[in-house]
Amino acid sequence: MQRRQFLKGALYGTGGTLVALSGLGAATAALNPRRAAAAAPVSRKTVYSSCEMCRNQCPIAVKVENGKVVKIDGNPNDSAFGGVICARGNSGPSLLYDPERIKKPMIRTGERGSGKFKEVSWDEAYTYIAQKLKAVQEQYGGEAVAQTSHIGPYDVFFQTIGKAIGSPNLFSHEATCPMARIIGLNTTFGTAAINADYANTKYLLVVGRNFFEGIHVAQTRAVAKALSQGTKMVVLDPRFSVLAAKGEWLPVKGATDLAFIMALANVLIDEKLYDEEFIKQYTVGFDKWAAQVQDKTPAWAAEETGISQDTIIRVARELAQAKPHSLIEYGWRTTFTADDFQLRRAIMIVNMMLGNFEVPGGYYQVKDAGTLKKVPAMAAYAKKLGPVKVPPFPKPKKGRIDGTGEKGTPRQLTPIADGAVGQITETILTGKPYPIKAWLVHRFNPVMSIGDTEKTLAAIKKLDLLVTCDVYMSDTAYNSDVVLPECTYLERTEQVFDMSGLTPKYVLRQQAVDPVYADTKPAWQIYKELGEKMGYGQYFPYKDIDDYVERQLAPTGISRKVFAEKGLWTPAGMKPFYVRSGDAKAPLTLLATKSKKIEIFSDAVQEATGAGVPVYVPYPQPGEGEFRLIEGKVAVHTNVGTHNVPVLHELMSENTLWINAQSAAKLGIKTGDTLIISAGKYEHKGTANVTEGIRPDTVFCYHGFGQISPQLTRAFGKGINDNKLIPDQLGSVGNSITSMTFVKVRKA
Amino acid sequence: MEQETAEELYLSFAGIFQRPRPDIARHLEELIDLWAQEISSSEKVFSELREFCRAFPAGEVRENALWKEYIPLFETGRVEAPPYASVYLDRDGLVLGCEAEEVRKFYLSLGYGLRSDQRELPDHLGVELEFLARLAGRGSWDAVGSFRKSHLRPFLRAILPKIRASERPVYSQAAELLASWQLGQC
Amino acid sequence: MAKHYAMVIQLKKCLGCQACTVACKFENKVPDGQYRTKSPAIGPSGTYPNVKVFFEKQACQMCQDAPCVKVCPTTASHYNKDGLVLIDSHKCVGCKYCMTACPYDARFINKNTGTADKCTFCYDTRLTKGEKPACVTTCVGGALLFGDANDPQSEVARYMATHRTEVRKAQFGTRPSVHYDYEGVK
Ligand code: SF4
Ligand code: SF4
Ligand code: SF4
Ligand code: SF4
Repeated sequence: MQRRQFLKGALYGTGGTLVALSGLGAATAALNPRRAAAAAPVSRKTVYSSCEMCRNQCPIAVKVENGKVVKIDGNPNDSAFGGVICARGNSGPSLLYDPERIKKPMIRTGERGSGKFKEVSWDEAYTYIAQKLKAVQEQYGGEAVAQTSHIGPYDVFFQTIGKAIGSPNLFSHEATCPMARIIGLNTTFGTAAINADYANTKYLLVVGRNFFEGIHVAQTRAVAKALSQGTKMVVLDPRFSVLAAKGEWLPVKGATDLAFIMALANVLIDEKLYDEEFIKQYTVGFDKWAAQVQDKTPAWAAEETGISQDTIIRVARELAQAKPHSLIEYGWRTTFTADDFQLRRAIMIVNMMLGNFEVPGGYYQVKDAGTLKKVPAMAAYAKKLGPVKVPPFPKPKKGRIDGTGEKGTPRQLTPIADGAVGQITETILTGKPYPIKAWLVHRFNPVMSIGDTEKTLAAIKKLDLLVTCDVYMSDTAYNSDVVLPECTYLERTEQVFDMSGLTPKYVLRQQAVDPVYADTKPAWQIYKELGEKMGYGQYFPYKDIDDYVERQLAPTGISRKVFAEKGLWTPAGMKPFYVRSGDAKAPLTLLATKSKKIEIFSDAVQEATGAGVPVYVPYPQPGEGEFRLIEGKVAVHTNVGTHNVPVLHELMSENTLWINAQSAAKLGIKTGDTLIISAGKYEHKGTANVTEGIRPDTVFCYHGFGQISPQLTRAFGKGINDNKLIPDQLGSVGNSITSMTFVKVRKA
Repeated sequence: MEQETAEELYLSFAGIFQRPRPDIARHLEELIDLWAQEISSSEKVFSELREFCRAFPAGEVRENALWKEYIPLFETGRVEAPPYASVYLDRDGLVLGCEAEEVRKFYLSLGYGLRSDQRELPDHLGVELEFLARLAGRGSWDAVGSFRKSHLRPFLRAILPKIRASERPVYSQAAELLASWQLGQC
Repeated sequence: MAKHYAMVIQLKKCLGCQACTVACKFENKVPDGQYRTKSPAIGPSGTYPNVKVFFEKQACQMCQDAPCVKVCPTTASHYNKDGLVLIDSHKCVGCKYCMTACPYDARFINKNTGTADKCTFCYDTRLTKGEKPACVTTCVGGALLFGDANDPQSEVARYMATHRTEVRKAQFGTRPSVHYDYEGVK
């Protein structure tokens, strides 16, 4: 019979997967494999690392048995976390061992969005990307390449590519999340590194944030601790969130929070309840603010917000009574309205009227090494990480597409590191101010995150190149030309990151196991290799991530061993440091503003927007038969990143549309009914959840559901994709606007 | 069945169920001849396979045609039939379960390990078949028998119906043939 | 004195975040779709804007007078030396008598083992090593207390001495070791 020699040639050579181990076979062939397996000793170790099921990077202790992650606990060495992690953090092994992860680099073979790919080697993928980028660069200039990531340790490596190409168009996801707060803080304190000491506060007013469903373990625990010590909490939210259930719920009318805040200021001034000494010593521009809130009476605010005048006055008095250990939370996702950053500024201004800066139970400036160096008594605790020096990048030839940094416009306030990510699709479609032709995306899913899913898909079709690096075939990856598989956080080490709070703190993400799928790689390696392929090797001067970490640690004298043994570093013997806890008049030498004061009136904001103190702007309210669509987080999922993780999908696979019982009755809607939610241009199906826990003029759904990549088999098409209904609208400083969508609802 | 034929059959299926590769794709016609000689199955199976070869002549066209099926079937697509035994035999549906570990130890006990440069998970269908080819090639029939009984056949019983149900060209026919050969019926 | 392990659940502090649910799954290798514990929402109740909701962690109540032990025909369900109700899976024949007898719906037949399963207070994997159960350790809201109720110095004993706690379905006379503090939620 004819033999097929090619088979042996193909599979026994370097093309095969198995290799004969010399000598071993004969020695152990007689062993019963099952018994051998039983007899083999179990190797156990605990690897301290940091979670990445969301971006909070909580310290974790990974239990590894025979090279397999069996359980993840919180790292007990970190007292802020107390060994606690959330449901998502606990579910890490479910992601790690998911057969649906992407395993090899892929290049599209069919139409864009057809889901047809072939697998290629990393080298082929790099070559392909490098050639396409070069072509775009030659024809349109380096600025035609845009980069977006969620934001994280990978940015240093990822963004090096764009910087080396000479593109100014590097974006984070922040504009779709906390950017308005960042700007509010920057313009008031000269830095956004301001944290709140929730655990020690006596009175907490929360404006639309949801600590108990949008979980940030350290902060969630701190709030829970405060509550258990008797702290009073008031929650402003159109929806009855879990947080609202644990405090006093004030169902505020959407987009009117600023009216509530200004009325608080009005009462505090009117009744002389604010901290005059504090305002005098540490701030500038209070008189202008006082003038601005003079007519913002509780009666007026009651009209605007739907919260009674008495309640507003009571809350103001209670805040004042508990001051300076009372605080108004400055918000997490701050994309309510076009001028959300002014709400954040107003919140911080009222906080300053409570004098709650640099005292327990108030706000404080983050005590990282750079800040502590400025305080002589504390300088010894400051161990600054070494810079990893790279040669200067070429200067981009053009300004950014989103106008970030342009003087005399609101965008002068937008952080250059973040930008207005929602501008990208608009620019791709219109070619204005100039074309964007290539888009590199890392661990971010614009199709589901930048408003208007259809618009993003249309924009993608016009690109010459879209590259996505992820762990799953996300909605954006599915529509990409090249898909790069990153390994998960449990399979990689990253650079040291700074998690300082009231003391400095460094945490290290450390590889717990070998990559499950051998051809997945960590971000640092992917972009270093791609950079080298493109001739940008000089911007990646380190050998590998260990070399990088070594360069960071070198000047600090902190040994890498500390991280292996404990997972984190904090200066021994240092107590939480509040500048004003002992001396209420202590100078705030740390302040980073030019005036060295807290800027209630900000020259920069005045120059940018003409409103140096926050001014009230009424926003439209839903008309007859309309509802305001709002959205939020749930404790078992992160943004749009975890809905396909088996265990988490099992816990919550679908979202519903919350609708007030009375409103539903008028429309004949019952829980479980299929609805058509119409935002005018687009409609989406959804299931009704009729509830008493929402305002009659508002509907709500949890975000991140209804994913459109058919390759996320579990999450695909389940539930409502709110992002399809929310338009791609940008606020003054480039923040996405997500609370200004009005919808009609009917039975399907 | 003679030793060398068994080895070739295992290799042929290993070649098909590992990731699409130029050398195997180029010789697809020869594999079909081999199966036609050694495995009795319906004429339809073979004619469908030959039809595929005609529609997609050897070369990049054929490779891409195989990728188009392979990815959603085994890799990242709907993952209609994850190619890892642990996914079926460990019940929690994840990779690298006990089954993977047992299989790896089995390989080790007979003197085989996974190549470090090609590192695939030990319980990938293609790897198990390649392992059996090696055992058949050296005539270790006891080991072949025990591996089939405790690992391959339970795995095949779970995965082959899924591959066949996918109705994806080449793969569903190969699954049918592998079932006739290894599970004794189709 | 003999130990009496007990858990106190402060409902007012539970966020329904399900960290306990997931921690338990990995700690105890609970198969997909099955749970030893869950914290479902009770409510919402009331009318807008005066609404309430709370979460009630549910699992085996570690009864001291356990109907499941009484009905077990093989003595698989038993009290161990520390008074905990555990299941010897070697003796369990999967007859489901215990599932019917348990007033708290705490048991299920584990898909992997085919035998009855339920919360063990993490006896083998953690208690015997001096660690607290996985759910208690990871509880984000700080709602769970655990310890030896016979030791007056323990957290649980001190808590129960100073707070009003209840057991669920007291009318069944099962004398649970899991105590609920409903203060602030009802
Ligand atoms: S909050 Fe949860 S998911 Fe996010 S890092 Fe912490 S443990 Fe992980
Ligand atoms: S709760 Fe049910 S399973 Fe647990 S001890 Fe009581 S009767 Fe038995
Ligand atoms: S004590 Fe252990 S077994 Fe019981 S619910 Fe908690 S984690 Fe699960
Ligand atoms: S972990 Fe704690 S707070 Fe979260 S659901 Fe479980 S018992 Fe409740």
